[in-house]
Amino acid sequence: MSDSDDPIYKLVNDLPGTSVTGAVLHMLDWVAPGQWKNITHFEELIKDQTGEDDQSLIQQIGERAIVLYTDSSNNYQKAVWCFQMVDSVDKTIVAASAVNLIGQKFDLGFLKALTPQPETAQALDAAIKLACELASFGFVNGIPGDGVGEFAKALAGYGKEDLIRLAAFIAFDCVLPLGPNFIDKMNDAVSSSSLTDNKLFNAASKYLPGGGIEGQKAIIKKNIESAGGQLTDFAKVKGIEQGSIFEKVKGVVNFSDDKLDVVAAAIDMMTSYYLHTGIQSVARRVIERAYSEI
Amino acid sequence: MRWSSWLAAALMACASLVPAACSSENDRWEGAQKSAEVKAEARAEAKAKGELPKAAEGDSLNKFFPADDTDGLKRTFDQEKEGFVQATFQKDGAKATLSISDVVQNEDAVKKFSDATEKLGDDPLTTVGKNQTTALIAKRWQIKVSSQDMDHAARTALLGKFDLAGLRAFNPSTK
Repeated sequence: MSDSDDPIYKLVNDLPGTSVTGAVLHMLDWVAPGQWKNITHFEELIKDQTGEDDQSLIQQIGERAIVLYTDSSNNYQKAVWCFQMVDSVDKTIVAASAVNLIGQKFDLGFLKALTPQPETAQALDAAIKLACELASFGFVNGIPGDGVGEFAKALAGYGKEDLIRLAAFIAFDCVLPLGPNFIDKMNDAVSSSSLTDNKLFNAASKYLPGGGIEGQKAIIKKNIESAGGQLTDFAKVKGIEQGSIFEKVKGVVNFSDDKLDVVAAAIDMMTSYYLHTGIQSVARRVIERAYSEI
Repeated sequence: MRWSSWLAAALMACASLVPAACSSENDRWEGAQKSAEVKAEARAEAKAKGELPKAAEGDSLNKFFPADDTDGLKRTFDQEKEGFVQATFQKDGAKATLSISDVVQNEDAVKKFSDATEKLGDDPLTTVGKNQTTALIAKRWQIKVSSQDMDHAARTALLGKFDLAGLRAFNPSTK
């Protein structure tokens, strides 16, 4: 996979308005009511973030945001690459035209031959994904050190795109395939697996804090321990359970299979919720800074 | 106007409008992107030669922010970059974003203060757009309050809660 050199406005403007990703994320509105709007225009994101509507001011904010994002020393690009990598690994690329929108539902019935990974591999992927969220958080916010403590604290204040991504992660990468004890399973998987056999880890390691495989393994574990309680509480408080998620997903997507892990794998393959909301998150933070700096 | 000429006029109007409306949203920003790339390259070169003025370290600016619980507002630091720190202050659903930026790395920001009619102490104070109030402290530190929930007076009051004396005395080397 190559890192995208696309400018920030293009990344936002190229996001799809209607897609399986959007449908699945909108489905999670009940978890975080009113928090997420699928903003796919750079100008609209500037307006939404700042509340400003004067076009010359919007231009000024956008231009400063472009300068900040383009300067690689600010690390915003790395945050986007991290999100891109997570969504591109181990994914069958199916042309958008192959997905049929039947009425209000997307039809994924053609994914008949899908064989999900064993549970340990899924738990390990979830643990690494959480570490990627930590890494992106560090790149965007510029937190020195491994940032594990700050990240866990910041999770409580997540809103908008960040919150819907977290909700989707808990729903589709944790609860749906792993059940309510997902944190224990993630922990066990990291302890018992060789990280270098994992595709996601091999792709992600260049972005992860920790320095060296053993150091990164330690950070991945520390991150689960530090953030785990909040993720479990979030699932409990919001009522994210295997049954409830499955029923909601069936409302927007047709599957040929009713097995939970197959549905989780299909969502993983057919959506780019991580990248989609990741781009929105990074762009919002760059715009927020640009607005403060002009 | 006859029906056919009305139709022709309508079609022509559409033909002239549609490309503008449908043309890529990206066009508007392409010029800015090109100039940003040139700027980034020039900055990297100047930095390599040691000619780029050095902005203050982000963590050296944290201490000048209003304290946590100022006016009952809960403070959360969000971004800490070279020459820039930002924190969110919240209370009862109302939110303000406070920032300090070192104008050493963004001299364009200084221009607006030459038209400033208000003061924060001896330093110029002005507004940007509908939702921002900002002051330039000691010609180097742009402090800003951005809030859709507070008016200019409230934002100005919050600017006054920064450690202004500390900021005025703070002048790390730009070499």
